[in-house]
Amino acid sequence: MNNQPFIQVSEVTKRYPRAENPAVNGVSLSLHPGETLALLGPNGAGKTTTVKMVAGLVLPTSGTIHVMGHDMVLARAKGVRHIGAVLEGARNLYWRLSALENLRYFGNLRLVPRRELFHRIEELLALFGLEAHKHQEVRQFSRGMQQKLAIAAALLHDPKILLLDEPTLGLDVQAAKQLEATIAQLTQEQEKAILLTSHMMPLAEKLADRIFVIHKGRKVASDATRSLLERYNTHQDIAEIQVAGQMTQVLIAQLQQAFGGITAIPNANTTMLRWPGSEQTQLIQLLQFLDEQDQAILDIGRRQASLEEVFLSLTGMEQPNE
Amino acid sequence: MMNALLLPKLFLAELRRDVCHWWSYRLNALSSLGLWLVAFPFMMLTFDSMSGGYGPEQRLASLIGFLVWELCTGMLVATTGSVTEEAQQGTLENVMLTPVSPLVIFSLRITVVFTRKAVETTILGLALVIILNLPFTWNGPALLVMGLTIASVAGVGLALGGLAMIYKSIDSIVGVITLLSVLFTGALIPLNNLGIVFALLKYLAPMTWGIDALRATLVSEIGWPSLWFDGTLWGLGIQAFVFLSLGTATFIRSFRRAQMQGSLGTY
Ligand SMILES: Nc1ncnc2c1ncn2[C@@H]1O[C@H](COP(=O)(O)OP(=O)(O)OP(=O)(O)O)[C@@H](O)[C@H]1O
Ligand SMILES: [Mg+2]
Repeated sequence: MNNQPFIQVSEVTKRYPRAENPAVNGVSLSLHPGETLALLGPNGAGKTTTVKMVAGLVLPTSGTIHVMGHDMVLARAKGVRHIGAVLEGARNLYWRLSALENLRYFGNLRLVPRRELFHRIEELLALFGLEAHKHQEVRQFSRGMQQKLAIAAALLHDPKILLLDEPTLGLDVQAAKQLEATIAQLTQEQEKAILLTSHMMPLAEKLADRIFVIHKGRKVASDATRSLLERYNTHQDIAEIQVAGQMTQVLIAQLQQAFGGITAIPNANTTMLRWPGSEQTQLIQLLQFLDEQDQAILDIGRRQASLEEVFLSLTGMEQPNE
Repeated sequence: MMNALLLPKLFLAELRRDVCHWWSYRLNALSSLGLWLVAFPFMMLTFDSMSGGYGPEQRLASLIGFLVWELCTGMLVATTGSVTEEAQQGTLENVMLTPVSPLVIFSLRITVVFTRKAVETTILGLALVIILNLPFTWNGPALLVMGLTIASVAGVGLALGGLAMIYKSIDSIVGVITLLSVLFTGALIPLNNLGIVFALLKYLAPMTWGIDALRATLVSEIGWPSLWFDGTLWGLGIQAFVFLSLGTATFIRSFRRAQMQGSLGTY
């Protein structure tokens, strides 16, 4: 009973009517008490669809979803009371209502007892630093304030599970940082499970215990944040070599045959060779080869793959030699 | 499963939200009220000059039809409009994140809009009665007829609200239908002379019979016995039951469908 996951998604597939490909394809994941899981993926990967299925707003085509042990198709009302969610986009709240009226309305809707609701609202407004603005209409809020208030509204009934779909999307750098700190605070809370989606690696790195990478509806990788990053950081060193002049197709083909994984990017009158995952000795061999072919080397650089690139290579979006 | 004691609390929460929202748009609401205060007497003057003698009784008949039409279509437009709007803006999905069933929430919302619209229409009606100097009294049978008519229209509201979760264009269709309905419900000009057409409209459209019966009770002051024996009360009761049942079934199916195609939120 204690080990029961808060969220259990088993072999879930979602095919929207009239859509060519499934939005989510055979995904399984679980989320345990106190854990934060980041669902990462490029646009259209199926993140939002997954989150909405967990919240019971979208029905899966096949597979099952349990929230606190309740099947979200058969017993949605029982599961949904444990969920607080900030869905994608700016409009989780009524823009024409004040912050206070929004919290009141959603608190009542989520059946928070009257007495408790009053304290809860004050508490949350203080936590998010919005007391001074509580009588202001939400449409007058900055995007960052709106997002904070949306999280406050999601926490009104003190849910065990918090779903955050792209929580920092559309925020400027500073507001995003602030919100990130606020969410980080929430992840410290014992017993709360947080599922957040993003296409920003750094956010996930900072907040999540585990990362689940999804692409075209399928799982690409799922691991503890640290081990995922370590694994790819060590293997994904990139060597960049700039060569004078345009390289011939024949030469490029030769290069690629001899040194697997290399790509040639033609520029105006130079060619950039990029070689991820290359070892020092291999690199020397490459340089020798280029020298033999009378290629003038203008510049050599070597850098660590950014998180972005790790992610891109994971989702197969930048692997022309595969 | 859901505690019935929660209903008043949820009703108040919805009412409060609705009133706040109304307040934010109060200028629109007040200007449409003002518009009718001018337009309706003007229409009566036009009818008068066209037909050569549109007396107080006929005016009262028109006013009754108009007020019922304004109340009912106002509710339909407001509820379907808000579903479409909230689906696009994203609040609809948030509203569905509650253990309260969507059917209950939506029924409460219809009730709330009816309540607010009833206040608005009453004010408009009283003002017009005074402006047009009409003889007007209210009575028990009229109240029941009104209640049954509203129940039928609420059923239509449930159905349309459900469909609006699936088809985004329902919103504009409802706009057209409500405008046309001023004609085929006999709201302004009674249709009693149309024979079989009127009979059909009476049985199939949700407001026509109600408006006709309301005129009978308020203008001709027909009492309980005749309403009972000529089958009007029975008919309106059955109509209300049928529309409410169909509306509920449509809403439940539509919600399921909306969950399937992910149309509770923007896409
Ligand atoms: N309601 C819908 N009806 C039909 N197709 C949909 C619907 N919602 C999403 N899709 C499709 O399903 C796929 C997954 O979409 P989803 O919104 O889940 O992706 P996402 O990972 O959240 O992307 P983003 O980063 O853009 O938010 C996309 O191809 C999208 O076009
Ligand atoms: Mg998304």
